Amino acid sequence: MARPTVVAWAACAVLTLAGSLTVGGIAAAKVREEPRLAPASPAPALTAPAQAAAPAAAPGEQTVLPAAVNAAGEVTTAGSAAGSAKAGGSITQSELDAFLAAHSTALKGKDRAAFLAAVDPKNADLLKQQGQLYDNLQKIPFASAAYRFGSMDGGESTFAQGAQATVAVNFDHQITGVDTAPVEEQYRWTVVRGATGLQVTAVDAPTNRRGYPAPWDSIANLTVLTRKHVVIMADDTSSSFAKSRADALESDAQYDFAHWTGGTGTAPGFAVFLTSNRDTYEGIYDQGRDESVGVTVPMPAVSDPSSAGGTYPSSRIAIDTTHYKNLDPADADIIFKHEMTHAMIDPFENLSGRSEQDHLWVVEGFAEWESQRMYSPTELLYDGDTLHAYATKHGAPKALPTDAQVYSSDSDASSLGYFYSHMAMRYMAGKWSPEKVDQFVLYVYKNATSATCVDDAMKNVLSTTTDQFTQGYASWYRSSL
Amino acid sequence: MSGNVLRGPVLPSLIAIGVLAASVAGTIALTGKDSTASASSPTRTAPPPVRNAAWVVNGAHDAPSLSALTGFWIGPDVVVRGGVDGLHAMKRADGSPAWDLPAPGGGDVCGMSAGVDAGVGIVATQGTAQTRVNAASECAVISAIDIASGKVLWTTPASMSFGDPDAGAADYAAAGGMAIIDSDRATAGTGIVALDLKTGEQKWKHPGDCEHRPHAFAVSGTKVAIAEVCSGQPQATVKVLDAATGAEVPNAAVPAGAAMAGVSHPEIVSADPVVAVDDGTTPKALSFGGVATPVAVSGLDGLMAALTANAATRAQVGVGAGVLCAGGHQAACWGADGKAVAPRGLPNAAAEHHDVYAVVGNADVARVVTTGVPGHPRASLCRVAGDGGVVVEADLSQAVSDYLGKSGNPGSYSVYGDAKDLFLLDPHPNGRAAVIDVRLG
Repeated sequence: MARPTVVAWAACAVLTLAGSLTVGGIAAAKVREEPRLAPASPAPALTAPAQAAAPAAAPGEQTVLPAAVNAAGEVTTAGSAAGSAKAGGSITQSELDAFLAAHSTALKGKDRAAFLAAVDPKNADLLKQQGQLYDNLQKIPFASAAYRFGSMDGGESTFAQGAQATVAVNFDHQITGVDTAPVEEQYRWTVVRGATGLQVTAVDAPTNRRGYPAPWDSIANLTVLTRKHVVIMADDTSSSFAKSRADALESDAQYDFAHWTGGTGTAPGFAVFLTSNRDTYEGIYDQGRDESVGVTVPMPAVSDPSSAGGTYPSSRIAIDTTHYKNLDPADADIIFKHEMTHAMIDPFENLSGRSEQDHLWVVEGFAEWESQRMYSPTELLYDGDTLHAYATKHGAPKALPTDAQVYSSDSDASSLGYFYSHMAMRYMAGKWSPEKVDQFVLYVYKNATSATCVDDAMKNVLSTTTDQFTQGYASWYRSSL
Repeated sequence: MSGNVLRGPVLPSLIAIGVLAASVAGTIALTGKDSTASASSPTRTAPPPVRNAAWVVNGAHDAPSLSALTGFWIGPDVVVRGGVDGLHAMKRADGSPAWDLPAPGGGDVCGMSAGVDAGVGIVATQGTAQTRVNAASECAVISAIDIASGKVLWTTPASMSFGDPDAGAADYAAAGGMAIIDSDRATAGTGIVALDLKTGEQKWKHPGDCEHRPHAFAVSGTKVAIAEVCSGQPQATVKVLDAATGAEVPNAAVPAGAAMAGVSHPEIVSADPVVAVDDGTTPKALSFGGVATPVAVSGLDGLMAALTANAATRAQVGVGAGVLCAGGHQAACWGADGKAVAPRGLPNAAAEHHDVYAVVGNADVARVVTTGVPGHPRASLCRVAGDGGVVVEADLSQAVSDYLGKSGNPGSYSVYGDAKDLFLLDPHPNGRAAVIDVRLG
């Protein structure tokens, strides 16, 4: 086996455990207060039903009300609500529901023209972008994909002039073999009433970006490759890399699954995006981890995450391939395995609130250990040094790494945090067992919002205390490394 | 004597019948038991004409909250229905659109002046960050609208005029060439301001050292009636101001002295005559004009309910010469002496279930619309005199009557009117009929 030349990277797991990931639901539409008026009673039918006590009609007396004149001046059938709504200029939720349903049908039915019919024909740039999106989406093996109304800024309008709505649109989708349940991506559409009906005049980032933009949104001519456990997406900078490494990614996925002993509930597979364009990498999924070279982004379920115990059912992986194109493939395997480890067990993690006890060392240490457990310490290099030299240089840890250290913006500090985290897991696997490591990590993930998630995992899984573990880890570090 | 009183107002209706005959081709014949005839009248009056709907306009569909009624204006050529998100104007001739105006100050429409002056109405809106002075103030942006064209003549934050950044508008009216705005702040220092209706320029300001409560303000014609609690005074004072100048009208017939004793939350229903009510104490009190002693009125709950339910538009309180009527399950009217008036001869009064809509608009007597009931299934437009005498001005066609409610199952509508038309409005149309124009002649 080739000796991996492990460079120090800052591969991160979740973006953060802060509240930004805990926000469920959709942005609330503006609530309009009802004026203080008497409660409405259902209006009677506009056509007068037969009434037993009704006298004979007077000469010239109407028996029914005149046909309604709607807001556009067109005569509609008396009581016709639909006619008044459309001609009245009001962009209503029901209209948007129908508009989005037609858009979904066009996507599902592979009808490109119908899909693009939703777009303002005068907006050439948007037409091109949406055409590109359609082409990309057709390459993704979706189990389901549909657009859904989320909310509308300012509520509905009753005015014909310049009828325009800014709408939060959810793209509910489930990638076959990757997502255990439909997840959602959000868009912010500007919709106007055109001569032929509603039209989209702009598609922008949503207020809550929620993984926007996905590769299919921002990449022209997206390369998509599928394997049993992996859906690989790549831009032109990494298309060849993706093709040459697709089978290796599948092997990396199988490697992670084969080692997991924590039971069912893991992600069934992975969606991996590859690029060597740094700007593209930093912008994808709005990940916000500019110092990283690999990232795993949890994806929210279509339903409110809080209803599922604060867990996110799936993740998306993005990798900056710049460092791996010309290096030993084993280096790439490590980062793929690392990120896949995150994605594999992400569905277990309670992300409903901020973590009250630092445990990023568990998150990153486990991914580091899992991706490198086949290598002995003497086979690993850190910052060009042997593991022994690197460990000697930095000395034994006095405590478990803090969250701030693990995700420090100082790459040296972060690298050392990853290293100490990795070594802590190696110590745990050696003193207890790899199975206990899985159980320990699982416990911490499921209780991630607890103020004592690590302490409790130490007690309930390892029958020790955090202090005893730390002392034993430091002693092992000094003696073994 | 009541017969004589009744016959006076009947005459115009009888004349109108001749004009109407061409349009509705005659009138209907009532049964032999003419329920509209006064017991003291030995002669039967002619049956009232039946009036048809001239046009119907539906409200927006699936936007029930936005379609909620915020006010209604009647102009010579257009009528304007206010919704939460703006104003929709219709041509009186056929109901076709005249103009639409999204909330001119931004945000939602809080309310509209009860009427217009010289073709200009006042709208209060929540405003936006760009149009209001203080984010905390609500209903703080005032606009004047030319109802013929829909043109916004001016828009200004109310708090600028009040000098209090938190102040908004609780009451507003167009009268005497002025936009007259009462502050929503009960604190001293805000008061009432009047802006030139054409330009928005401030013309007068009522001294702001007294507390003003919402709805302690009404405008009728060129008179502004207010109730305020001033420093050092133990009770509210009712005043009548001249809308054009802000000067207090001398010797105005207002409740004062003992009439306001113990009146803790006075509200003003009408400025001419001045009608003040109070629901903050028990028994409830009503003061009509210059009556010396407030009258604890049984049945005043009906008026209070109307005021509470329709405070923004006061749509269900109609005032005539010497009489005030509120809509409700049954007509609740009060005369100039402050005492309850029992209308005599309402077509539906004998039914177990009956309802009445007060008609808001220009009239020399109070007008109500009774809903149809078994035995008299058509709704009727009635005039109520100060002594309670009723004249049926017209019956409404069965289709219109059924819309308003029948057999004790009424809807909750508002009725506006002038000499030419009745306008029936559904406050929450949601795709159904929002405005029905019933042509009176």
